[in-house]
Amino acid sequence: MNTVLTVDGLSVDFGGRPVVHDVSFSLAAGECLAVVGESGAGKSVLVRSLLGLSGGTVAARKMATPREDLTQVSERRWRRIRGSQVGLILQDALGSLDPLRTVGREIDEALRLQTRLSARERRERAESLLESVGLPEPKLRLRQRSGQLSGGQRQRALIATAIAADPPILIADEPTTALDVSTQARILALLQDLTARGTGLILVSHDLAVVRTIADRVMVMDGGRVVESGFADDVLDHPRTDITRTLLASVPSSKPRGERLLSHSPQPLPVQRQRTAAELRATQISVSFGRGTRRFTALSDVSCRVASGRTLGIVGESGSGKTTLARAFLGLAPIDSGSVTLDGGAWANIPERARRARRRSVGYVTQDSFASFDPRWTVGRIIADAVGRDEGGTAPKSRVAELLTQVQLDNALANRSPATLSGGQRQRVAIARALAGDPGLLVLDEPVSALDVTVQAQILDLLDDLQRVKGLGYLLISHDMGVIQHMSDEIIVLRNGRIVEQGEPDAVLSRPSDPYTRALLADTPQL
Amino acid sequence: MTSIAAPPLSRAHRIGRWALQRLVGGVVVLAATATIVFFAMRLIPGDPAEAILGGPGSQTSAEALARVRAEYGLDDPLGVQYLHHLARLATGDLGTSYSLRMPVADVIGPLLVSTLVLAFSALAVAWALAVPLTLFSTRGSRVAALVGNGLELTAASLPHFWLASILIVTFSTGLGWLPPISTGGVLGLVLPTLTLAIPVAGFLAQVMRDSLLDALASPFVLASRARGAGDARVRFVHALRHAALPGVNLTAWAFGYLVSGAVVVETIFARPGLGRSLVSAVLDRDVPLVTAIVVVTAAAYVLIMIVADAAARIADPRIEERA
Amino acid sequence: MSDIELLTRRHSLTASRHTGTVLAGAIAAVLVLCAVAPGLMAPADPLAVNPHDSFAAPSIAHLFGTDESGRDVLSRVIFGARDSLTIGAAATGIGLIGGTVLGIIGGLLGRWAHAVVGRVIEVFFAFPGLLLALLVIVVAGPGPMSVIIAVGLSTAPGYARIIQSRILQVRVSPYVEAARVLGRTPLRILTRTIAPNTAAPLVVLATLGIGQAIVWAASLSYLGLGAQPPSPEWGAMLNNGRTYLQTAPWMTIMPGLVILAATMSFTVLGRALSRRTEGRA
Repeated sequence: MNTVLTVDGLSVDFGGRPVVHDVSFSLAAGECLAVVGESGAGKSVLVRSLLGLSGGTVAARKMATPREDLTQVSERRWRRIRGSQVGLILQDALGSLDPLRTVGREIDEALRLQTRLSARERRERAESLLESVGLPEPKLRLRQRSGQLSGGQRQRALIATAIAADPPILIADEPTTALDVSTQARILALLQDLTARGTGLILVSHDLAVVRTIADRVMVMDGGRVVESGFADDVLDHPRTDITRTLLASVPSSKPRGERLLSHSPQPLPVQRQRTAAELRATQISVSFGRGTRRFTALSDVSCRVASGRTLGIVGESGSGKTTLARAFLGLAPIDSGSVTLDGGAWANIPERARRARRRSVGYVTQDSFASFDPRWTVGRIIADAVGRDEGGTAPKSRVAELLTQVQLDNALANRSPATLSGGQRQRVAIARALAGDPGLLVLDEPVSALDVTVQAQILDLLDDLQRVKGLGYLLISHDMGVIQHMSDEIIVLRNGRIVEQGEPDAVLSRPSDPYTRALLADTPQL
Repeated sequence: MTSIAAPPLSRAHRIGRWALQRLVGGVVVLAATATIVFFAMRLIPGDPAEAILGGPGSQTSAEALARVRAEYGLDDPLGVQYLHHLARLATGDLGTSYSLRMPVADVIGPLLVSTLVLAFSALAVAWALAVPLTLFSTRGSRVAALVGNGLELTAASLPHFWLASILIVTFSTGLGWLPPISTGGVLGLVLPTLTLAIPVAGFLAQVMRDSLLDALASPFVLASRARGAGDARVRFVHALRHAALPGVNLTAWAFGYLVSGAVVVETIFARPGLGRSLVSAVLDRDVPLVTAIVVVTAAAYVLIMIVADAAARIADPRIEERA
Repeated sequence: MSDIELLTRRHSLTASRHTGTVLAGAIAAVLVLCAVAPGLMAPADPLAVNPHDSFAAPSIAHLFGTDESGRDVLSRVIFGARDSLTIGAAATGIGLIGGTVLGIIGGLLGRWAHAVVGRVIEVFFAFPGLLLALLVIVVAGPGPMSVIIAVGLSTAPGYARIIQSRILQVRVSPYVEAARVLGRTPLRILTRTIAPNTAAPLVVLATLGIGQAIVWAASLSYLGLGAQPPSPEWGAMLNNGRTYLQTAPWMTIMPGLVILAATMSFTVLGRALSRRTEGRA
């Protein structure tokens, strides 16, 4: 294999603060090298320095393509290298295409800057590029802006801009993170296709299952250093460092239901509180929005049940009605037909006044919990407010401390503003608040989707522990089949507001009856 | 996340609905403006008939007053007078000025032209000043940012009447380059235009700098750099267009600000125009003239808002998609 | 006059921000001190006529020069701070109260109230600020009180728009939903969550607004519609100086510089406050 990039002793620092330290690797044509690690490990800075776009001070013993020594390059020369020798695909395709310009003009920019084609040739090339990245109707797409495309189409268009001038090296920085599994699978197939045609691909990812799908070699980073590297199968099957082992253990589908992902995280205190059984039941509910010709059915004829001690997992792509179902269960969305009951009593479509007293039995945790905190309040105040005044016997202060302990947060955090907390800590605060009313059930709407894999694993372990100790019932919503599979006693697959599959995880996973479920499972990368 | 996707309306349908909404809204605004002016003028202490005959000082006979009252319908109940007032306006009849004894339409035409010339040249100059200032203050150097920031803040804080005085002292009294009085001619337009334009340029540069910096920090600029685009290309082809969007919105607002400023500037530079005439018409209690000036200004404002909204929709097609 | 909306925008320059804020705070503090105790600050009696010393250019004896009656311009500016700051603050107060009432009606009382308030704001925006102020002054007669009401009323729609949109934004915020899920009553959500989160930006608006209100009030006085000579209100002083612009420009330049300094310092302070409240949000 011919090498397209050699890097030896690469370091990047920002004002004296080292972010990437002494990294060496090489990349061959047609090879996929995955760079993995938690956020802050220096992955993005590393790959951006290969385009001269890191923003820091770069030093290397060697950084070269067969044609060029990249350590001795002027900004002017970098401009010729970018796009023509090294292409970059960013995570956020919506933001990475200029929202005011058409896809055609974005591709044209790359061609205009890096090739000597005539306007006409560029137009033809742009069309064939869109075809090659699997976008149908290229003529139409060229005239559309990123806002008019779906997430997958957008990512394809972005890839087309990156490969327009046929760079032998392509860098993909978390290219599928914001995508549905099925779209993700298709984008990964496209990237694989590119490597098969001889492009050297550097894939930055925190998702080891994705990495296993397409990487030939893996480089694990931590704190700006490479801690482990080798062939993908070797590293993933026989990890030699704790960092790699933790990353691997964090993948939810790696462990069955009930088994903790990270064995070393501390156990919560045993809790004596007794919960009476609780049950939310939806019977043939339908929900729609809008009116007239713009009416849109978000849920139709859905029946399911959440009960103490059990987890009902809801999986589906965006727009499938998952959140609407959560809102119906919380009494936040009025339903058109059917019924929702809490412990046998009416719950949906009754006056809010009738619901209020019983709201303490159902807690709610969302993906962006930071937005759900009153911006003026400290962590302690947020939780104390949820504890409320009518908490007979226990003084709120000790109750706040108790709740913080339950979610494994230091009591000192009570005086902090949520703005100063990490994403994982915020989720814990949200869980503590949801537990304040001592509910029997929690509605968890994508509770770990915004988190890093290892933090995600910690939160999932916490939820698991709390469920075991307190006998909580969960309605868990996720777009990630791995999370659902690891956490659920019963799985529902939603599509376009309808249940396409419902049953025990084993049955759903091993013998899916619906073609959509089968596709979903096939598209979910496995470790 | 559940996105609530409804079938999109056709483009023609959307544009038609938009135009109708804006038109109806505009008419409502104009009617309300005329109403407020009518009642505000009635609230002024004193006898309107006296004002018509030349103000409270003039010795007018009781018969003359009675004749005027009858002629102008001042004896009718207020409601009837109000409806007459609206009905006349609706047919485009602006009435006769009390103080000038001329049809208001004839008075107001040249004034409107004069004020609009001033306002639009000020807008043009404001843009011409703001764009380079924005580009300068976002060059990336700390000094440039500091100087740019200071200039924007100072410009936006300048009171018109003071700025006008300073310009007169400098360019008329001191250097003798430009006339301190604005009577026709291009030279006379320079100082009033600058007086109005400089504060607006300060506001424009502020909003454009903010959004230019946002755009420069966005992933699409990084992506463009990764394709090999240089600094100039990134700024002019990508970022500047994003920066101009809030500027377009601000321009509509600035028009109202300019008309306010015109009141002061036209007075200082003794330039004929709506603003200066409004002051004297209000002091003379010249109801038809005040009404006409206010309604014409409001109409111009409504029109400008519609144009600005349309411009924003063309510059940023996302607005229409969101609707 | 919704300059406020522009002034509240986020500003991106971190460097030297602190110094600027401190400087602005110092200027504002001096001005407030002048307004509270002008006798302590002023070197001379603002009304003391001294015909022998008229039209003196700025010098050590008279830092800002003297006017046509030989009065010390600096002392007049210092005494004028009381009138100008009071008018600015009172007008801002009226504007904020009016804006808050309108904003609450439009933000809380449902779709119809929202539509009506929206139209009212639109109508008032179609009256360029100074036109509305002129009407008010003609109805109420010239004078400082009229200026306060005039400037207050013409700034109210701008505030109303900001407050209304803030209320609407807070009402649908995830943290209000979180309070609902916790079983909070609408009254409690209103008083404990919506009201305080809407009120936070009011301080910012008030600070930014005073600077602008001072300028507008001075504009009206300059046109002879506000405070009347021999009051040392800043706008009135400039109106007076206008006659002597050619011969004694310092009568115009010096008070104007003070108005500029006042406006700028209140703006800088308001922005600093706005960054602080935004930083928490």
